[in-house]
Amino acid sequence: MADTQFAQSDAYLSALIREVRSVPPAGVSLTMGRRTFFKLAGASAAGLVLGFRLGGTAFAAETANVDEPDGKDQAMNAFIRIAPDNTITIYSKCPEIGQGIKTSFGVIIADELDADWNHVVMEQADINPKVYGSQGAGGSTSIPHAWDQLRQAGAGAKAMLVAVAAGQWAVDSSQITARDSVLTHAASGRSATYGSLAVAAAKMPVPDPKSLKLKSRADYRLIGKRYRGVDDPKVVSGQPLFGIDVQLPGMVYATYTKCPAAGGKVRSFNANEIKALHGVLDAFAVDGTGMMVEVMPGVAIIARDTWSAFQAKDKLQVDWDLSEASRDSTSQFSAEARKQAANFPQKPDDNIGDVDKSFANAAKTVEAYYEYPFAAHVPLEPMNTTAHWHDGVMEMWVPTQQPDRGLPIVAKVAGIAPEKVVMHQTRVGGGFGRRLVNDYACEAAAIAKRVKDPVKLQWTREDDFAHDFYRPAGYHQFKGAIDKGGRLDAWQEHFITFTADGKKEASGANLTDNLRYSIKAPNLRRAKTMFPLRIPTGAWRAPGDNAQVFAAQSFMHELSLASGRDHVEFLLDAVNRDVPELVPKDRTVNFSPSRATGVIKMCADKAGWGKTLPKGSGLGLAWCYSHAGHVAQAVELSVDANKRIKIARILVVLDVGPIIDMAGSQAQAQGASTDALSTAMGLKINIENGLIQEQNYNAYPILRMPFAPMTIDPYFIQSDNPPTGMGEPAFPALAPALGNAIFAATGERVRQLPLRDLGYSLAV
Amino acid sequence: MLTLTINGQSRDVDVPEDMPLLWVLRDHLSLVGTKYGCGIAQCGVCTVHVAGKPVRSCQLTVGDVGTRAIVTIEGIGSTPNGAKVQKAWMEAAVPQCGYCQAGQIMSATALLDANPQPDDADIDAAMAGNLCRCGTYIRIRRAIKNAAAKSA
Amino acid sequence: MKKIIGIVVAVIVVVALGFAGWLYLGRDPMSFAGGSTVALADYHGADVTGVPAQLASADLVKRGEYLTHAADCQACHTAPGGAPFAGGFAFNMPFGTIYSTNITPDKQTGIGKYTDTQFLAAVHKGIRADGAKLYPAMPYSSYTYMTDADALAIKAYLFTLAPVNAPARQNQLSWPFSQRSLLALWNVMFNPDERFRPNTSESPQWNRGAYLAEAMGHCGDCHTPRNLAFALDNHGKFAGTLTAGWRAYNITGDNVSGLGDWSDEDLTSYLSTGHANGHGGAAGPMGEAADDSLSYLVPDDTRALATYLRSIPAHASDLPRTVTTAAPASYREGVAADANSRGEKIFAGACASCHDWTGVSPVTGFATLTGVRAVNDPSATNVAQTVINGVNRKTTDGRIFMPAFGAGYSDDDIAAVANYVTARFGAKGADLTGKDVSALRQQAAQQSKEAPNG
Ligand code: FES
Ligand code: FES
Repeated sequence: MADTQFAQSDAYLSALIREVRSVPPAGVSLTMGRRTFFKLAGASAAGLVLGFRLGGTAFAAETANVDEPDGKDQAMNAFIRIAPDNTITIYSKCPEIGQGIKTSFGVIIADELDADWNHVVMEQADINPKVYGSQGAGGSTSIPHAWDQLRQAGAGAKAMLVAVAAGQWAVDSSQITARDSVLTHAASGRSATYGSLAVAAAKMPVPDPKSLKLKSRADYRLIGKRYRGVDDPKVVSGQPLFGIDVQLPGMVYATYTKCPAAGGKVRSFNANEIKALHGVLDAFAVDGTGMMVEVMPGVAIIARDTWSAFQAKDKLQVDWDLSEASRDSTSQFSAEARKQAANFPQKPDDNIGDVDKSFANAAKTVEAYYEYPFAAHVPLEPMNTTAHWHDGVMEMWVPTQQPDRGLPIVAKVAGIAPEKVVMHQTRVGGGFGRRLVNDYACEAAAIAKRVKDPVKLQWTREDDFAHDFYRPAGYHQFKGAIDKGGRLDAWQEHFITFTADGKKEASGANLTDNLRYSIKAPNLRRAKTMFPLRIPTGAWRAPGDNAQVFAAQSFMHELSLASGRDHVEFLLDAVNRDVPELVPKDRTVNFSPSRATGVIKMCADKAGWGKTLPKGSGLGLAWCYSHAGHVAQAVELSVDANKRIKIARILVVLDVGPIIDMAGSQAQAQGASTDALSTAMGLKINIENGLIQEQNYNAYPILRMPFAPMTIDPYFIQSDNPPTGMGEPAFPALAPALGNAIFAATGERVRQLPLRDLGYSLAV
Repeated sequence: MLTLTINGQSRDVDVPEDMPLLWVLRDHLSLVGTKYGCGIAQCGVCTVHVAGKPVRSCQLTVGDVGTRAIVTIEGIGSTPNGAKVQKAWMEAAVPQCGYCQAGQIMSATALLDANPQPDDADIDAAMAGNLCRCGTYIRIRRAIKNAAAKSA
Repeated sequence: MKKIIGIVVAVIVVVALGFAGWLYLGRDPMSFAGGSTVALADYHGADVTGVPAQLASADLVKRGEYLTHAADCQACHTAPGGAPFAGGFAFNMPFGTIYSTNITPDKQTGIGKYTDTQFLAAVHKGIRADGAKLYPAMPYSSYTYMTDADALAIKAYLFTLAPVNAPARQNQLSWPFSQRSLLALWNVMFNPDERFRPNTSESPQWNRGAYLAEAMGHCGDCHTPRNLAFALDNHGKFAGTLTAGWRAYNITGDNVSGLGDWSDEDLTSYLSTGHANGHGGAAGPMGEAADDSLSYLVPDDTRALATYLRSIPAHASDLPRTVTTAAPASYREGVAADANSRGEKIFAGACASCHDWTGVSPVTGFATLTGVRAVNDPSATNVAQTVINGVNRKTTDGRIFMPAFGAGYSDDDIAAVANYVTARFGAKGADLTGKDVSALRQQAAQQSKEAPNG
């Protein structure tokens, strides 16, 4: 029973990751649907745009002024409302998790609309995938998915405004120009603000999205400039924004305690003692659905405030039935993988050319074993959801990355129709892939059904460490061949990974397609061995790539050294090899050897590749194709006798198409590099007998200010390719660049993460 | 009943003395700008000023506050350095997810209050206790320097 | 020639006997007081054994519970995260590892089949029911002073616990220490095998304190240095020593290195809660002693214990006087940072928010470093151990908590921060290396009782 549920949970997640990872090829992104474009005149707009807010005062400031039934705002479509005073409200349909989407989406729409950015107000759209299409944030896909749709929304609204003006002025619409929310007919000198035209425009027929002419790159006025985050004024003044900030009248507070070993069930708990504690209102066991991605069994404590709930949780004693609980142990996995690495499985997954022959004829062969550990997401905002079960409706405020996916699952858990779930998307205090799963929202719904008041479920940080969907560890045994010409001739990889269902890789534990595109060898063979795993795994920033690229690109460097050729030259040669494709033919991807070449060359150039460095210093470079981005990263550092690493400089060169918000993109590039450095240096989750050993940040050393690099220089190669996301691609190539630099400085090869396990640390 | 002075106002709260100030602020006074991140003084998102010093409100019990004046992120903009820091934060586009930033701003403001012209080492010493999972450190450093430059 | 050899042999024998005698004299923990002692039955003062007056009429099990706390059986007989009293706690000794055993009334693996006589033999003489000798990790050379009645009350209490099936873990000792039979000799030398004899020259309160400290709490087992035979050497009674990777401090009346400058309030506060303002708090094994044992004592008993402690002759140890002035408010001032400022940066990130750059915590008195003995110990042993293992104690004055940094921080970094803390806030900076910290981790591998994900 439990086994199938584990497998089901895992399958759900795997599918989700696949989906959020598959970037649409150019020109095939979501377009404006009929419903989205449905003409929303006057007051009725509020209903569709905002869903229905039943007495929600969660964010009084945000609901004011947009939900008035007699509001004067005119909805042009589901994304845009225009007020008589020329204030333009734009709805961001996807979650803001720190990737800057709420700003970027606004800029994309406003640019096509030719809106005056200074009078644009950004709001979070409610969850209604029928209107908005996909509303998730994951895999750096929000931008590529929504690119056309958002531009059409802007262009469509502008066309409606122009049509009104053309009619009023009796001029041809082609002679009307738009700029900063004003339409002008130059010949007659007439002009009108959008605000003055909105009432009439809202009544105009909706243009056919295909008839809209979208701007070309040269015409962008807003796209590509630097922006302050649209929520920044609220962020810096501490106004309520995040899920955890939600407050409702009469609200109570909940904690939920699950078995520390995944899969354990509640037999009983000290209910009487808990209920008698100060501030505790109720305590009850929840059976849950047995699905990790929904509700696992546990004990809910309801209290009058968080502290009372947490105090009671401290005193909670649960008799757990551990018969189906995880007994996984990372030290065992690691030892076992090392043992099995040399036994290349009989049946390869990928097999092109003739690897054995290549090895036999090779000028040089190289073998190496790489490993990296489990990792937790632990965004700074702990998991939480506020839910209110009232009038047959489950109304909830969720800091999630996948509200559109979460909604039907919540409905299922609550045993109600999806129409009876109203989900409000809040700002999210960090996603990193953790919040692709809506388990905490499901728990809140299950608890809310048994509590008459609105209830805010908050996880403790310890809960967050113990019940993550971890980045799986991985173990790679490589063998490569260099031919007599110094070229990469064969690549063999035995990947030791995990399975939840005994058949395919656990979610996030498969070799990514990105690697399949980017490792090019005429003879190539890959096979995997899978260990059964009970601990749930999932998507962790740049899923798969975040660690696999470390192994692959470090080994690539080893091969280049064996070839006797320059690393960059060796890479460029490999990237541009014309070899049989491994990737299924039905998938269109944006991988381009020439864009890869572009970033590698520019990175080498900016880093001063080839320059002479003092003894003990080194420059390392690596590249990746990840989440549709082509990226190269370089690290320059020195290492002292105590293995203290002083980072001199980090460079990131990205080709992700045109940049929407330059400030935000630089922030992502710097942030992802910092995160990657932090993870490579120190982050590791140990599991013993099913128990996650790390419980809080004291045991999980996320990089702190004094150790953070002072300079990370991002460069962008912009192009007419459609834009792709920035949340992930600047992560994966950092670790191999770091390892390659350490080799350059010391001659010591890093084949294991985190580096602190090898005695390395960052210098102050 | 305890009486606290928060952002210049006197507030009465009816809570047990051992409740950390963090939860009094968030749950009983609706001041949710001060965040919960770890509960063990390791992340800094709960930083408030107590008698002018940056303090982790997850560790300070309300009973131990005494008569010391409290300033939270909601009130820091009314102080000269607080306003300067907030402005510098927006100009440098510091926030990513933003969750740590209230605490960062409280620590940065306390730093400038004590030391109007901090150098890198001063910034390290004052800011090391504030984690940012998103990795905004480079811009935090720049924003603090910009804010300091404005006071020079 | 023969004669010379004879003389040499004689000298050796005399010296050896003298040395043995010296060792032997060192075994009596209460002889320092002088005066005359009498058998308990002949003592006519107030009751100095058994439970305090408040509990005099309580039933046997209740009395046994109090005495079980007073004798602190639980701390050693509970493995980290394991069932209380079920044993399995590891003592890492220089010559191997000894595990405590299950003293729940389980018939197979615990003491469920022990008769009263067998139980007394174990407590007083270190002899197991099967006749085998216990290692003196079990402090029977202290418990031997316990009255039969008190020992049997403890047994009665233990027999009310839920039996736990927990087989003893195999000790790992090197030869010859693996030979239990050799303990017979040790016992002759070092276990007086006699019950508590009140000292008629001292007050009843002193005698009560002596009984609590020696027969029950066995303070000396950590605080008194040991001789070569690993027996307590009461020549330096309570002068402090290293036990299981932690330093048990000098608790004699020495003004510089002991408790001489502690006020009575400080002392009783520390004994009852494990914390005294200005002196710091108990962590590690002493934290356990405070939580599992001392905090259960009634105030009269705490005072009696304090009275007894006050009577211990001052014995100077190598510790400097504690610095009681706070460090400067700015990190730039005060004792110079370590050469590469690594300790300072780590302190800034993980420590300063609670301990402050002054060492006087703005958060809670529990976190104040100024004046704390451990911080003024230039070996930094307990500072490093506290950083590695953290503190997680609940006292009547509130929770005392510090995160454990052992898992997240390297040996080098822990050494750096311990050196920094002792230099900045204490009398003299330590010079621990990463290797030292690694050794400390080994010695105290079992101190943290935090169960994962509780
Ligand atoms: S919540 Fe207080 S420091 Fe993290
Ligand atoms: S901005 Fe996200 S944690 Fe700092």
